[in-house]
Amino acid sequence: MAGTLENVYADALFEIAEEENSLDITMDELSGLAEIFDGNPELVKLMDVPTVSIQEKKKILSGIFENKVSQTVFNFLNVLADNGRIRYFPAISRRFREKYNDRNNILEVTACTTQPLSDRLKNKLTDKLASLSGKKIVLIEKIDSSIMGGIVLSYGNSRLDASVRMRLENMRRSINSIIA
Amino acid sequence: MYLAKVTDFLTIQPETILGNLINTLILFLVLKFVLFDRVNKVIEARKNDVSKIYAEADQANANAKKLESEYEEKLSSAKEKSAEIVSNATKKAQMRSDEIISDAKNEAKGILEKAHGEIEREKKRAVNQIKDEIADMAFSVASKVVEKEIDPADNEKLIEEFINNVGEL
Repeated sequence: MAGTLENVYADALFEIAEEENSLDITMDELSGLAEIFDGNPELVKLMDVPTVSIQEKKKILSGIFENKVSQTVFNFLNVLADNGRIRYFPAISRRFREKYNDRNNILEVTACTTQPLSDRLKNKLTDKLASLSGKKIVLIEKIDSSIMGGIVLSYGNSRLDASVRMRLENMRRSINSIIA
Repeated sequence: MYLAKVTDFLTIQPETILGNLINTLILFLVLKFVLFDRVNKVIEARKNDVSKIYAEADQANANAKKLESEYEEKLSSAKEKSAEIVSNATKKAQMRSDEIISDAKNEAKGILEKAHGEIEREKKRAVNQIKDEIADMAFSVASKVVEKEIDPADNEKLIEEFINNVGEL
């Protein structure tokens, strides 16, 4: 997958940040930017409008971000604007995060429950996960009542479903599989 | 004179009788030589011919009888053969008809079996369908019940159980 556009940009930025020893800062800033773009879709759309000149776009960007982010990241934004790739930002930031986590032996795990986890359980969970994976666990909590109960863990491309819904489904499936 | 000659002529004199006898003998001898022998020959020849003809006739009769018996034999053997052919043909026809009947019986049996199989399968299918419907119903009922939020304490227990038991990532 090294050839895709987001990968190319993300890998390049990663190299630079690595050289400058600014991986952590860059990661933080990228997350922040991703959130901003997420919450302001008109901004992203604006960056894609062909009638607005690149100069205009870069002016808008510097108006918002100059001096609010590191020079590296700011330059990076401008490069994206120059090439009309602002809309790839979420994918780029995701890919950067992947590499960052890999480099720092971090595993991001999303835990989905019907109610927020108590601190006790949260710690127990992260400890268990850390011991199982040998990595530092970053726990992302999600609330979803459709799972009915229990917990669903997602990390990387895998999923561990221990929800009540899954159990009911399994029951139903096992009944279905009985052929009279 | 005539009367003397006539009476002479009419009286029997021994020289005349002898003379007649000798004439007769000479006549007989001549006849025998000239006529009788030839005639006997002819009669012999005839006799032979007749015998030959009779012999031939007998022979022909014997031949005819022989031919007749041969013919009778051939006829009876032909009768036998044809009877045999007819009986064979009859046997074959009987076998064939038996075959046809048994084939038909087998086919009927096969059709029945297949029909039974079909019915069984349909029954199974129906039962499975019902079972699936019941399972679906049970599932939705269970979901509805569970949807009314599990007791938080139970939920905690569930999650803790999971954390304790999760063996690998």
